[in-house]
Amino acid sequence: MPVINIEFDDLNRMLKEPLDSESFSKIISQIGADPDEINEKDAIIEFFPDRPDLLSTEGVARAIRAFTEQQLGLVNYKTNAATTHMVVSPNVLGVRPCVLGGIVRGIKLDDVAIKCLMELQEKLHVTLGRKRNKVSIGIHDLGKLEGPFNYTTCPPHEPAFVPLQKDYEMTPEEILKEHPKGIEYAHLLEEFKEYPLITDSKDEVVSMPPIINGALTTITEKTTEVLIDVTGLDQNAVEACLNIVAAALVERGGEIEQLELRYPTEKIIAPQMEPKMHKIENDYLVNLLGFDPENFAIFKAFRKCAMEPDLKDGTWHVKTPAYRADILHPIDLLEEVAIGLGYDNLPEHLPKETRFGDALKSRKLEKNCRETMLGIGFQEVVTLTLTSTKMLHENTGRESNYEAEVSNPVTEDYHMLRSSILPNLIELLKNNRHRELPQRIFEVGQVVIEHSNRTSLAWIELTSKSTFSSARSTAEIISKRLELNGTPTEDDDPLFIPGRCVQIKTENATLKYGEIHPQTLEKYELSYPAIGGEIIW
Amino acid sequence: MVNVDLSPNELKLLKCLKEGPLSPHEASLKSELGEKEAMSAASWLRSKGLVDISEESTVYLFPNEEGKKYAEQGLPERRAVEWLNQMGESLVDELPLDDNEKKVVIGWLKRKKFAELEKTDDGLKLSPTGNVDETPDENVLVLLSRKPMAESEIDKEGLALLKGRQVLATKEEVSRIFNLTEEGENFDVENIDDDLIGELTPEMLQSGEWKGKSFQRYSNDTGVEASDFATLHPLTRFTEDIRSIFLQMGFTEIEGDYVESAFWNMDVLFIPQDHPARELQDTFYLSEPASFVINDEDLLDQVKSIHEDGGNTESKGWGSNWSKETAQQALLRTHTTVGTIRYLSNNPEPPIRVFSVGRVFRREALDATHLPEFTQVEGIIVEPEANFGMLIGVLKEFYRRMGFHDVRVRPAYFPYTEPSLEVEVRFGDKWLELGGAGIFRPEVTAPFGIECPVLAWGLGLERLAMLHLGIKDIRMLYQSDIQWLKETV
Repeated sequence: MPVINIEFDDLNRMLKEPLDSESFSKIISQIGADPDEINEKDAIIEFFPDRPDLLSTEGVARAIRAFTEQQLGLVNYKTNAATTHMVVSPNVLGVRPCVLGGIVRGIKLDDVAIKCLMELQEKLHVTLGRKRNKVSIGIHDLGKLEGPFNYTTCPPHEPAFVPLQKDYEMTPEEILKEHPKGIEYAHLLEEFKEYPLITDSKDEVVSMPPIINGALTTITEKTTEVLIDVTGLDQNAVEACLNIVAAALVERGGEIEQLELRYPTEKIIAPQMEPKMHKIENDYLVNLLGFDPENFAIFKAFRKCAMEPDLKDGTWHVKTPAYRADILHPIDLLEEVAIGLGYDNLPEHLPKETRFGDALKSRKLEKNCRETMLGIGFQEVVTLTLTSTKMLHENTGRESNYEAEVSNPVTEDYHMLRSSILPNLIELLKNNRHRELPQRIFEVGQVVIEHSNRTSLAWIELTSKSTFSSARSTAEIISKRLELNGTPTEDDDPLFIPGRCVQIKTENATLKYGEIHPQTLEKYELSYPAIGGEIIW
Repeated sequence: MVNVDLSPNELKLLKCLKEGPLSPHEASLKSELGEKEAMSAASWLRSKGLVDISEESTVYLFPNEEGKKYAEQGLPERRAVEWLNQMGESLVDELPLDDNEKKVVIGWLKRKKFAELEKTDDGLKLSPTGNVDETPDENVLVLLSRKPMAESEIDKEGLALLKGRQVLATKEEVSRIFNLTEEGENFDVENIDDDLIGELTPEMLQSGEWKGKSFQRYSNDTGVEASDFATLHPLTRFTEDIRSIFLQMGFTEIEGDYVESAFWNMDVLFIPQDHPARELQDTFYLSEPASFVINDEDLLDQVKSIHEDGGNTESKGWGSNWSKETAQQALLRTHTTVGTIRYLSNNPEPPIRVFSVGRVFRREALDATHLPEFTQVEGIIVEPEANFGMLIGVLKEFYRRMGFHDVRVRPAYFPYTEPSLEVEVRFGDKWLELGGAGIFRPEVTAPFGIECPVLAWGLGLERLAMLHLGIKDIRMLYQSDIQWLKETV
């Protein structure tokens, strides 16, 4: 989950009544966040991925103002009419087809505010932006630019421009190969012959989305007006990011001015900061909540979440802020009401009706296995289901049997689901070589055969004198206790010594036991004889 | 008199001590107990306040390697003077001594007045004085070579001479004396029945010999050898506790396969196809089997349209294209909720109360705090009266039965529930996150015709186990030290 840093001095500048760290800590988790660390001067907070509007100190300040009733209800965003435009070239539509933009004037930025802005941009890239693939954002010092702007494509070798973090000109191709951000994000453009580019009317490079901005328009403490560009593959996500960034800049004293996007076939004016309308029926809300807090409490709860409700004919018509991209369904409004009321204040109750539960048959079988094994002195162990072909096949001589195999394992040790538990037990004994003999262990667990789960019981015994007859005697007790009736036949499982392996097949289970082959013992550096067995149902 | 129970050995020793203090050796002779048994009986008597054991440490002296040699062969000056008396006179170099002895012998010959010294052109020449008297150090050395002695027992002059040369070693010995305490003195040993039964034998039982006799009382605070034993794994114990809570609360247990399709694991749960959790770095995808063919065209269509534009629900959907190929990828289930939704798809009629406890997989490297697979506990209620207040009520009841009496909830986010919450429990003086919950989104329930609210909650079993066991390394549970497993409670 995305994590952001908040400095209380900065936060409190945007609140009417400042908060100390203690009250901040209480409020922030009621709004919906995991406080990772709260200190006297700052805090590290994890927000949930459905609330990208909270990924900045500005957004948090706005939410706290509403929640603490410093400013209930919607924030009204004044947007000035467009004074310039951006021409979207048909070429770029096949590369990175979505673009929106906007201008914010009259902002005051200091060091902390710039840091917040950069952090917001980065977090949006990671979350809504899906690592810049779906959305990437540029924020530029408008003072260095002259509209109108162009969103177009460029060939790899030109134009050369000075990118952020460098002090010399590079061509787009050089940026992708040599610049750290270029190297990191080059894969997003690898299938294209031309790259997206935003320029101003004097052909200065504003940005090469989604890779890097030009160094010319870097935001500094002197910046008072900015151009925001948001490009991407999904118009909804692009719009959400633009609205979030624009609303954050308003918190820094800015005033939004729209930008006209001249697409080849249409004109779009952005950003659109008017609230969106969502509806939820009061009965639905109250029934699902589990109690009726009464209309006024619901009304206030919406307003504590910076929304503006209106109850008409039993339905709440709720204006939600333009920066909220997470309201998909009326049910999402219910959670706002619950948050506004405070989760702590919601009345709770238990179901009135009694029902009758039942355990799984497989669990009853497992319980029988455990009782049997404990009764004959075997210690229970639990091991991982993920294993390797080395453990399952190479070390045992067993053949592979279409075990489920992971295509993107983290390590070679865990790339396959086990089809047998015995190898895990042998490995566990290896790790317990420093312990005294005799060692008797068992595991009841799941194995996966033909891609389906099966229950298995495996056991192993390591003593200085393990004999085939004691293997038989143990197996006989187990099969008797678990009611496995079948005729023992000789089996040639290479995990066991030839001629010392027995198989019993019943209608729904297969039991195998015997004396473990020294070849396998050697692989696990075990220098005592071992006997064991496994039943798979 | 105090009522004290005495073992036969203790009684024997006590009787001997009535005649005066004894060392362990003396006590063992007199009581016919072994020295160890006498010592042990004395310790018990001390713990019962009847005997004092005074300890005195004595330093014993005895010859070291060089000393032993001198005790056998004679000190260097004694060997020199015997040589001189035979030879008349001799150069120092000609003495039958080794080089080290030659260095020290001149001083000792002069000091003991055995020889006179003269410088000649050939070197130092020695001539006997005629004095061959034995000196006390020689005597002491021989005595010590026979038996180590305490310093106080040794001739002082001889010892002083020997101490000047490095021929003696020391050892410390603690000698003990058993004395009766005042209470012990007053203890009436004659009236004590010394015919107590110690080990109860089959013969005694068969003959009835035990009847009318008393049993020796055994102590319960002596150390005994540990017996071997077997236990259930702690995860099994926690699983059983939780299963039993669910069963008590009227829930029926369900289970599911580890190998699943993205469709059931993600898509039907309204997790968008570009959700970060679906990326290669978070989910284990499979090469065997690589994909599943999903045949339910009607369900595929519904899920597709719900993802794209909300379909016939009131939702807006995710607004991006939904791919059947992506949905058909095979993976290791990332949560047990896939089993839940499969169950609900076959059993959409309320009322339903089901639960599951099962392994789920996340693409993590194994370290002290991460596992590539862990155990998820999940509970589900579906009924017409279900609502958010009931979810909180049931959760608190559930956690209370797990031993957490202070439970609080706060807002959270999961892609398939709304509203969602996170559960925090008080453990010691801290609030800890221990699970999540919510009501299934309409986008999830709509394709299956489930019209009642679906309350769902879940938690990780390992976290609970680590909390209770007080361990910091999660690997202890799955790559266990067998001895540790036996000792966990």
